[in-house]
Amino acid sequence: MIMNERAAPTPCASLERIERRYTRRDGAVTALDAVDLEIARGEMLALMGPSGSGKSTLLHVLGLLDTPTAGRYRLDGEDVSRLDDDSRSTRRNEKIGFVFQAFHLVPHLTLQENASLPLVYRGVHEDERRDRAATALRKVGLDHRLTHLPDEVSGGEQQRAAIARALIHEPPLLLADEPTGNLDETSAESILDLVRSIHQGGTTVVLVTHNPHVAAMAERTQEIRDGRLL
Amino acid sequence: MRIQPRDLLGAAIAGIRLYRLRSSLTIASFAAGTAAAVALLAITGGARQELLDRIQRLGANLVSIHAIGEAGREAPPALTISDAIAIEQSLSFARDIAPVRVVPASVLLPDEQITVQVVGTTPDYFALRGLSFTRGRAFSATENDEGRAVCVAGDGTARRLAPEGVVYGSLVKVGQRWCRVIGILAPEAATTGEDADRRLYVPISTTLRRDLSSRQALGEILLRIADGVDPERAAQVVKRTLLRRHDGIEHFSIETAQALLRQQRSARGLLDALLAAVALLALCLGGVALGSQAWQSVSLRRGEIAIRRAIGARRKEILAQFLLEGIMLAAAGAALGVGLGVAGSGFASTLGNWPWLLPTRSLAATLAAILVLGVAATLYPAYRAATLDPVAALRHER
Repeated sequence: MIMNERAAPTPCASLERIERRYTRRDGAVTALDAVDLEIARGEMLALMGPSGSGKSTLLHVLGLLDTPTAGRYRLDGEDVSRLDDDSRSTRRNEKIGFVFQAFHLVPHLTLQENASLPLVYRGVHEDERRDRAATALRKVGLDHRLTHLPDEVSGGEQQRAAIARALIHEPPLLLADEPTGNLDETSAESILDLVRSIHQGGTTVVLVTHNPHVAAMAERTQEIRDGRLL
Repeated sequence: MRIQPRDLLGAAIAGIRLYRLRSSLTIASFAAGTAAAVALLAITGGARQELLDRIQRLGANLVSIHAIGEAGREAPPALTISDAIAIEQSLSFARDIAPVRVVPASVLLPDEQITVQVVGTTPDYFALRGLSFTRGRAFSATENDEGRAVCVAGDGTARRLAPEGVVYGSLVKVGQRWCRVIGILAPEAATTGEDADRRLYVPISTTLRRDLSSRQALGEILLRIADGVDPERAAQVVKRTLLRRHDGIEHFSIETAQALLRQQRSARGLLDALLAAVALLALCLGGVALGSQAWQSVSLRRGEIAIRRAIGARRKEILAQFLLEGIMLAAAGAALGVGLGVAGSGFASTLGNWPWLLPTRSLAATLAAILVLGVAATLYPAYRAATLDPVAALRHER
C-alpha cells in the first residue's frame, strides 16, 4: 500500500477540506463546504450540478481565480492555498487554461492577438507570439481567421479561438466552464470533439456542465450540490 | 513586471483608440490648458526679462528724471542744467549725477555727412548707464569743464562713421566744430531699446556753450543715490525740489526700478491673471475629462480586465496599462498644447510687439505638473481596474 502511493505520480490537482464562504449583507453563504477532490494527471473530469450548486466556484478555486477561505489546495505538486495575488496570477498564467461559456475574447483584439494574450504576460516577444498563436489557431481549425475580430466570426469559432488561447502555453490543467452553453448543437458537437482530442493529447481537463450528454464524454463525473461533493 | 514595455504601450494605445471621440476631447482639453499655460509662461517670461533688462540698465539705486514734452520757445524748459546742479548740491543723498542733453546734429566726415543723436553729458554718465568701452575712454572732468573738442561714439555710430576704417582717434565735425573721437562704446544688447549704440557723446559744456542749441534744456537727469536710501522716497524729494523750482509745473517724470516693477505688474496683471485662470480651468477640465474617461473606460472594459487577469496579468500590470493610457492622453494633449501655445503666443507677441521668452525650467515644471495631473486623474480608475474581482466581472459579462 505504502509502496503503491509512492509509485503513484503526484496528482495534477488535489483539494483537501476546501471551504469557500462569502459574507453578504443577509448573512454568510457557504459556496463550498469541505470539498475533497483529487484530479489525476491526464484525467478528464466532469463537474455536474444545478446552478448555484457551487460548481463554478469550485472551478474558479481550481483556476486560482477564487481563494478558498479554508482548506489546502495543491496544484501540480505545489501548495497554492496561501499564495499572494501576484503568485496566483503567475500560476494562472503558467498552469491553467480557461475556457468560458461566454468565450470572453477581448473584443478589440484579433483572434491571433487574443490567442497569444497569455504569452504577453510572460514577456514573450511579439514575433514569437504571432507564430505560436498562428500554430495554436491552426490546430483548432482557424488558420483562415487570424486577423478577424471576435464579432466577425461565429460563436463556435470564437470558442475555438478561446480554446487556442487556453492551450497556447500548454498548461497542465484545462478548465472549461459550460464551454458549449452558448452554442448551437452543431458547433457544440465540434467543440466537444476538440476538447476530447485535447484530452487525448494528454491534457488534464475539468469540465463544468449541467448537460449529462457533455458529462458523458468524461472518464469521471463528480456531482455537486449545495457546495458539497456527492 | 513580465509584460514587455512595448506590449504595455500597445495595450494602452489600443485602449485609447477604443474611444476615439472621448480620447480626442480629453486630449483637446489638456492641449487647451497647456497652450494657455505655455502662453502665460512665454508672455510673462518675456515681460520679466524686459523688466530685468530695464532695471539692470537703470540700476536699483538709480533715479532717472525725464523732461516731458517739447517745451515751446516761450515756455520755460522742463529741466535745466541748474536743476541738475540744485539736486546735486541740495540733496544729501545725491551721489553721482549726469545731466543729459540730446540734440540731433549732423556729423561731417571728410567725404560724408550723417545725422546722429548727439548727447551732451558729464563723464559720470557712462558709469551710471553701465556703458563700457571697446577702445579709448570717457572724456574727463577737465575736458568736460573746459568744453574740449572730444567725443565718444556708440558702437553703431562708430560703424556708421567708418564702415571699413577706424574712426577712433580721428576727427569728425559735429555741428560746426571738429572733435576728436577719444572712445568707442561696447555694443549694447538689443533688448535695452535705448539707442546708446547710435549716439555720439560730447561734453555737456560743449553743447551749452557752443551753438548746437542755444537753449539750456535737458532731456534727462540721471541720479545715483546713496546706498541704503529708499529710491521711492528719494524720488519724492527730487519731485518736490523740482516742483518748487518750476512753480509747481510738473514737466517731468521720475522713474525708479520699483516704479518700473509696479507699472509692469499693474499693466500685465490682468492679462496674466486671465491666462492663468484659463490655463488652470482648462487643465482642471482636462483632469476631470481624463478621470471620467478612465472611469468609464474601466467600467466598460471590466470583461477585458477580467480576461487579462484570468490568463495571468498581475494587478500591477493592469494598473500600469490604465495609468499609461492616462499619461499618454495627458502627454499627447501637453505636446499639442506646447505647439499651440508657442505658436499662439509667438504670433500674439509679434502682433502686440510684446517680448517673448519661454523659460525652459518653468516649461519643464509645467509639463511635469501636467503629467502628474494625468497620473492623478487616472490613478483611482486604474486602481479600481487592478483590484477588480475577475470572478464577479466574468459572471456579469455573459
